[in-house]
Amino acid sequence: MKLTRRNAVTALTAMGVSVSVAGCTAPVGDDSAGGDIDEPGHTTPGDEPPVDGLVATAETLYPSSVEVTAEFVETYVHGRAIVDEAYLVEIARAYATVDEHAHEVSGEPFVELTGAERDEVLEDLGVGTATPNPDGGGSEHVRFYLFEELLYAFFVSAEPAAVYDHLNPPGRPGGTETYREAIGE
Amino acid sequence: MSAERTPEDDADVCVIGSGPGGALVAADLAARGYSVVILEAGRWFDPDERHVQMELALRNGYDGLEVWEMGGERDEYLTLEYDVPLNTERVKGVGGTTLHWGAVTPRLHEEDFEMETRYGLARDWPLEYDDLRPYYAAAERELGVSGDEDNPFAPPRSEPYPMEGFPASQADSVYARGCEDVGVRMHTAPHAIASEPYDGRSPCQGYGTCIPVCPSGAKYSADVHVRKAEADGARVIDRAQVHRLEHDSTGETLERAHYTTPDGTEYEQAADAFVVACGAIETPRLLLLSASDAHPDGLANSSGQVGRNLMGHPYVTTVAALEERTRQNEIGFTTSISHEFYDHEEVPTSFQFEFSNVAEYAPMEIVSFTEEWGDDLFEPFDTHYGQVGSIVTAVEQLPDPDNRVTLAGSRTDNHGRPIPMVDWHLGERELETAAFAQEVAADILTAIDGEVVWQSDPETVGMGAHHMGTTRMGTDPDESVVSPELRAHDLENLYISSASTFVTGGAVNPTLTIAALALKVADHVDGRL
Repeated sequence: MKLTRRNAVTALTAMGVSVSVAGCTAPVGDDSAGGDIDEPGHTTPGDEPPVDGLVATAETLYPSSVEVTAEFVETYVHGRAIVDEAYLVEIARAYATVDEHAHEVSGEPFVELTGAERDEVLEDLGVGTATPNPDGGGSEHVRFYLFEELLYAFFVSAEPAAVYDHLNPPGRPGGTETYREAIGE
Repeated sequence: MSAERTPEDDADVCVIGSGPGGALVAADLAARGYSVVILEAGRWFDPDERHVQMELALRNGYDGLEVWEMGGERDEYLTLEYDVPLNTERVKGVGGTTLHWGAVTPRLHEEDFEMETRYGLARDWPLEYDDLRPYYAAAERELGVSGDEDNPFAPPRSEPYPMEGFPASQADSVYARGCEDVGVRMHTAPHAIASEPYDGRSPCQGYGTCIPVCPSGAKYSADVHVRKAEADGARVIDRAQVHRLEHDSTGETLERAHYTTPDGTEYEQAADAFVVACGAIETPRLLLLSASDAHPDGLANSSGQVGRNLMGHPYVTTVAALEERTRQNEIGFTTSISHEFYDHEEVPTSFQFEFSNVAEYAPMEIVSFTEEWGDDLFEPFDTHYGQVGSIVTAVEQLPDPDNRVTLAGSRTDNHGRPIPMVDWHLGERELETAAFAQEVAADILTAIDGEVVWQSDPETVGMGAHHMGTTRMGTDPDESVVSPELRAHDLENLYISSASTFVTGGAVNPTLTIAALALKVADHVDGRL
């Protein structure tokens, strides 16, 4: 599946965000609206996580069957900024931790690494075994603000059945039909 | 919403607590033109916060109590022999515990009101089911209940539910085969969750997070009625912790409620009538804190019954690994239950089966187990998803005067007031019922080729979320705290609107009965004023 702006708007809607710029609100499924991450005024330059860095992280975390687009990340980040700019700063900090470690391990930014090298950076940081903790440091902080952040965005926005044949994961307003559907038909 | 926390002038009615017991009284009386002030210990939670709260509930890294700011120094309590985890269950905020409840709304059965007459157990209520029947119907309209009339054990009703119920789940269809084998009749459960647009509320959107928070507003919470009360002129003072009720020189009439605001300032709210609606823990605590020369053992406690007969619904669970997959966590509430064992002849006390739609870990929980990512991200799903079903049993607990709420002496809350001490245990009857229920649940799950992998220990499950029975109702002032009109025997203008007035608790979720009694309280306060 391909994660697009539409999926990001779905995720943001589940989070109670109406993606709106200059009075334009994007309903779920409207790919033409949704705001522009370059629109000024929502985050302080330097405190915003780099879109290419988040795309690279999401590509690493999500199964290979999921195609991550920049517009998915852009729209999602923009919506997060509307909710809480300070939260976005934490995401940026978490990514900076990963990127710094990439430099230490390989001398390259995270986005320039191959998939295997990115895995190695995350493993070396201890993200796999870290306990997510919004108040923690290092790997705990990365696990919460980067790893689980992107997974939450995925679970509340993915197309039905993309999540291990789960048609309506909690957090996704998927209606009152799927819980009744037969399995295997 | 009031930013000021100074008292209201010329209040007719002071309602303490804004859960369903308080909110419905306040809305009803405000609509009749009375000047109403509501004092609530917790804060207002803006409905616009609900999605953020849902994320708090779903994201790993939080303990769940952040959602409604439960616990802390304000909510401290002590337990004795049994640990009773109150602060995972009760919410202090405008709307009370309905902010995070499951919204299952059955009525008590006729026999619940006549336990002594029918079975020689406990005490009869001073009311019959028929006395409450019109109030039940009104409460279902107020709360917006969706339901179907398919429960063969339910008490009689004369009108349909306000909305159609939610159909049984795919998982229910699997459980049903086991029930048929064992001879247990399943039926759907009524819910205060809108199945269609209702009273300005959205129909259910399927977020699946009913407990602890409904982002769509489809699930009823009592802040709905607090807002209605406000619209009719009532005033709400949030974060106002009431710590004492003061009476006049005769000791027969309450004059004011003393409350403390977050900065430690103390105020006095005067009114003509007072309605205490603080649940079965904080209601007796407030009465005991209000002891005076005229009421040395606590207000309204000439019977010595304040704080006694604390009841809960211990919930025991049977989990089985199933051969057949079921759709778990695709809806947040239980769709089917069974009152087959609403009975005191075959089993010592009644129990209610609830067939789980949330038996398994949700995806965000499952990924907390993953140490891998990429194509291995879903590996834990192989062992944590699609494997289990469960049956949860709510066991009726009979009143026992030794199960009680008292004051904890020198241990104090954030404002230096003695905290409640909860001495609660299960009796032999309840333990026997729980064991029987676990056997039947295991039989049902085994009949669908399940292998029972876990059963909770009734000795340690605790009292559950349904706290009842510490200021019980009765006609005899020597044996009860409030009259059938829910007025304290000892004070002419003190009413209690709470599950604390329940004489028995049955085996069903208590909130609809709390709501029905609240509407009755409103009638009686109106009659008095």
